[in-house]
Amino acid sequence: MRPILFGIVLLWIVLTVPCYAGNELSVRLVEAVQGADEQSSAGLEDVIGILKRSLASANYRLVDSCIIQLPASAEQTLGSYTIKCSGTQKNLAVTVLRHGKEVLKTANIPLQGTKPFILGGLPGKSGVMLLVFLVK
Amino acid sequence: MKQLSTGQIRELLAHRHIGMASDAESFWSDFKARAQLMNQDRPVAEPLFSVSMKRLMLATACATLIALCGGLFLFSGRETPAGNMTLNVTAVHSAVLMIEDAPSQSTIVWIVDMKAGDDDGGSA
Repeated sequence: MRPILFGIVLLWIVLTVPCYAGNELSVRLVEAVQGADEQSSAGLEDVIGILKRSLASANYRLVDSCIIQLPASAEQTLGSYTIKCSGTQKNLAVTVLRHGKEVLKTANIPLQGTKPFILGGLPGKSGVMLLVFLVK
Repeated sequence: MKQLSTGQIRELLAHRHIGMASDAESFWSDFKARAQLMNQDRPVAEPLFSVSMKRLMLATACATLIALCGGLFLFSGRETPAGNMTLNVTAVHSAVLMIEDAPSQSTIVWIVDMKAGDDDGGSA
């Protein structure tokens, strides 16, 4: 009987642990700044390398941020955008609204480990906006 | 039926030859000679592993479970970064680009020429 019990406990641990790999989702609203004299603001140190390497803009400015507990079932406002998140890290669904109107909806966004997921091209006041999702 | 008297019985026994009891050595040699004439079952060999079927099944089940757990642990989440992702852009746009930053293995989804009303996204 003992080996079966041990096996069941082991299976339970293996199946449940990945669901709780991270417990907080950080969402940041970032503005891409074209001016070369602008300095990147604080709070983007972990993703600034990725942004500069992959995108055309010279600098980026953190506009707003929030933390959402995982598994998520929350609605947060960042700037003029409202972010609705639901689900776990593995199957997170995000809906982005602007002035209450749905702009885009995405599901199963790739949030593997602590790698950021960046959703860009959103219109902003003086430039293009980005949403940076990162599990902490 | 003819009945014999005690005297007649004694007389008959006296005349009949009754062999003397043989010694132990001759007895056993005679026994072995007779035993060789009979079919003997071969001795059954001892099993290499004296494990009961129940334990063997338990061990197999545990090994299978551990292999399954190991496989789940090793291969879960090994799909491509944006393998199962779905994206539905309701605002007006011209294209959607997906960029994978190789050094960080992170994914960037870029919506090109997106129009979503007045452009005041940064204002809180």
